[in-house]
Amino acid sequence: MKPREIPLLGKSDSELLETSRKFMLALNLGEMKKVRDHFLKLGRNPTDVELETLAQTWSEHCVHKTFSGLIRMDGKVVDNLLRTYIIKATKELALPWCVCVFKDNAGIIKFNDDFDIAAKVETHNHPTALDPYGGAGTGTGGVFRDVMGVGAKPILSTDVLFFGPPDYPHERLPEGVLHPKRLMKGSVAGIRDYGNRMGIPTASGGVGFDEGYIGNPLVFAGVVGIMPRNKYVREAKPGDMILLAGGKTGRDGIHGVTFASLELTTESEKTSSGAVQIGNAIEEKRVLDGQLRARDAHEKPLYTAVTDCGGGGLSSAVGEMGKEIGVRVELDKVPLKYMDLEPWEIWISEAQERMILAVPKENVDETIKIFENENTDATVIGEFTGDGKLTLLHQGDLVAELDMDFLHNGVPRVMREAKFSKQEMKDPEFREMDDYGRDLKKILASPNVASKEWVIRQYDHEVQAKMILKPLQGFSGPGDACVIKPLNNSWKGVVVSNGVNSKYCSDPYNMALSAIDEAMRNNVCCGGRRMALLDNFSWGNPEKPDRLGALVEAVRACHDGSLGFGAPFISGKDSLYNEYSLGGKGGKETISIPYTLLITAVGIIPDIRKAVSMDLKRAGNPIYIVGETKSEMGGSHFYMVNGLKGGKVPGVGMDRAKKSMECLASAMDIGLVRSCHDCSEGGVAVASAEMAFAGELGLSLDLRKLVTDTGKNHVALFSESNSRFLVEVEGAKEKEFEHAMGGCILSRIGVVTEDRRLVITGLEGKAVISEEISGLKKVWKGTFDW
Amino acid sequence: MAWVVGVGYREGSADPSGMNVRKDIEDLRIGSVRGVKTLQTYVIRGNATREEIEKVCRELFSDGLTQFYNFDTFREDGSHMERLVKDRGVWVADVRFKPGVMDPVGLSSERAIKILGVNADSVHTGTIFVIDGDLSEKEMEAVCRKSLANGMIQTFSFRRIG
Repeated sequence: MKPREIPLLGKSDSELLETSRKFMLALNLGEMKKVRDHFLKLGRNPTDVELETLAQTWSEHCVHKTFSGLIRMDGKVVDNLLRTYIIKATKELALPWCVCVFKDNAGIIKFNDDFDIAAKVETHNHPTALDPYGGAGTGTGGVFRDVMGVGAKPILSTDVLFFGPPDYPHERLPEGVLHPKRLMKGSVAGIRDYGNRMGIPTASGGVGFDEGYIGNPLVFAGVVGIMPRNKYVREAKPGDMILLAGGKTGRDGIHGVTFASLELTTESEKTSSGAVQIGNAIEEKRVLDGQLRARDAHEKPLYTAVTDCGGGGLSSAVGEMGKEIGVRVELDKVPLKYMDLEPWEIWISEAQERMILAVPKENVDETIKIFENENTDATVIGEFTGDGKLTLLHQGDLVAELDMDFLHNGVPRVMREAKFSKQEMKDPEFREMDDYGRDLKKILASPNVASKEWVIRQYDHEVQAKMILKPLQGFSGPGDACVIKPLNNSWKGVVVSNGVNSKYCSDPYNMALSAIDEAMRNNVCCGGRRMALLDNFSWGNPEKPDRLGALVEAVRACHDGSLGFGAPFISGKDSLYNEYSLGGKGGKETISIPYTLLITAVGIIPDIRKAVSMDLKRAGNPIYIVGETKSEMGGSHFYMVNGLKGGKVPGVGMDRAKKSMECLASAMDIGLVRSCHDCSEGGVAVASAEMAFAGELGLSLDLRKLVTDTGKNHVALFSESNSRFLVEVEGAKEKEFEHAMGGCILSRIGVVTEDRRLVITGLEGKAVISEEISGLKKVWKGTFDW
Repeated sequence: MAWVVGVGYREGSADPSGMNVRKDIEDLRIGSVRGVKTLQTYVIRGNATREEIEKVCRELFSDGLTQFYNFDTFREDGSHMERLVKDRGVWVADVRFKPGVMDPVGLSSERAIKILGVNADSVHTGTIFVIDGDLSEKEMEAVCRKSLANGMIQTFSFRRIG
């Protein structure tokens, strides 16, 4: 098929923009001009394949224009947000156990002397908005391929989801938007089917709700993998063949990447059907098995490099792998689902379940044989050349010839404007009450806090038989983290946890610090330490200064938090443009999602037999609280369920927090801690209720023992101050525990009781909560009784 | 030539996806629904004989103790629904993937059919929903759009069988 020429030479600005729109390139005027001028020098127009390749490679999704661009804020210019803050902190920490960070498909850290852990978290928001089952499923499949792309075997899947309120009235839904309940059911089914069918336990995650996600649900799909250290390769050489393994290529997901860089409109439902895909987990399992066999067949892998076909398809995968050396691909060699695909469609198709391997000529036959044995295709589609060019042929015709340097470094850097002004928020008027049982129940029943058992029980968290602490602990209590034992011959475990709270987004700096603190304290609750962090930003349109200003604040906090806690970031991702515009294209009214930063912490535990769960163990054991309870009610669930606004968002005192975490981990190592749970949404009241009904035991607490700056019961009960833990200590070992926690803010606030009641004595010495455990558990489980 | 097979649960066996769909329709607060049953459908293109399709239904697609199957020649207008569904006085909706959408179960079925020695050019899966309830035609269309099918990736047709 002869390539189609796209006339750009001599075109006016408005004509260039029209071309970008017509072909759904999502390139702006500056970028279109850069392309035009480049081809002016070559004395010809680009082909459709060349233009599509540039649009893919230059998309926000692939080059992260905002994070790597220039940002003007408060008269200063930030040159590359990622390098200035997040990567800088990791570099400064320079920890020897960081093996490969911010370079490959996934972050890699040391596990033990012979094995490494690979971790990655991705977003798949836009496809999920359109088809939740396919969108969330392929998000999961896609992130699995990211750790396969560094040669690791996926051993655990973690998924954090955000939707509009599940009881949102149907008649108020904007046109073209699926109902939150439908989105949630579909997403959970998609994640469940992909993980369960591939045999990867979905053991960690969370689900959050806010009206701001009505038009724009979020799906964060994450994975942890394990690999022998000496099997990591990343060095394609000229002369190596390009092998495409896995599923056939169709029109799936065409323009998925450029689509992700556009806001959703009511038109999206009609125009973007190509961007939606359904996954085939069984095919991916075959590809995984083939790849692992190719990795382990000999001392060195049969391939010299491997990467997954994700956003941007072959264009991104092959283009990226051959960026330093050059590639030549014959597009008609790519196995197709149906015959009428145009060359550009083959090149950018985002068909799922495909991996690209660079294989030296002498290994090609053996590698193909291995994939054939696994019942999947592996086809040579081209080779690495050494000429620094991207050359694409289709049935003998040259359809694209691009300079790799221009392709990868030609994109004009954006200069964006950002502004941020912090609002001092006063606490609203609230008259103290005598009893807070009703408020506790309201928070327990609120969708963010309520039991997610309906979701969790659908996921297989047992497959591979490596899970030690699972998402539901004790009598179905909400675990803080999960613990996995990846190797048969070692007691060492991996601890995975998450932190996120978009209710704090009025103060993005403290929101980000809170998320880091939450992810890390969740990890510590189960015995984790030596944590690596992953960041995932889901944000609004960065071309709007207030959104970008908030983003800069949050990124700055990531830098400070990383250094403060001594926890390096090893990988991250951003999904911007999460806004929904009403009234079609060009509509002015937009809904931005609440700024959402998910922090995932991957820690280790030296001996999984010392791991601690959150359910109370034995009546008579004392309960301690670690950390200070402050008047920080901004964004709290107590305010939310009472319709109150204002207040200060919780901050983080990192030195103290870090010290508490270290001391707690060592107290666990010597067996002093029987159960441990962090205080987050709903504060001490909710955390203690959860520990009690997870252990089918009672608790008696006295707020007068709290270390706190407040004189108000509602603040003492429901403040969401960070860095706090409720700890059940082995009865006879109080002295030892207090010694182990030396120098930390610590107080003994109560005792585990037999009578299955939660009784909390207020600051005036009268009970402010006195409730049956069974009643609390019932409301907690009632919300998602689907 | 194309065949269409419908596999459903016998009386007395639970049909969980039918029960879920019923709850979803209740959430929509449209009409009143007494019960929902589902049939998994397979559209098999190729030149398989009636006897071969019978064999595939028996040995591959259904579990004789808990499930039943019916099959017929496939008709684009959806009139095969009346032969696959034995209930009367109900609404039936036929939901299928749009062309080009990945259909993993269809692909696996195609492989399995060939292993059984039966010729098939392609297999495409779908679902028939049998809805027993008081719904107007307009309400039934709303149920299809809002609950049974996602217009992004699926097509649907529905009819009343009396």
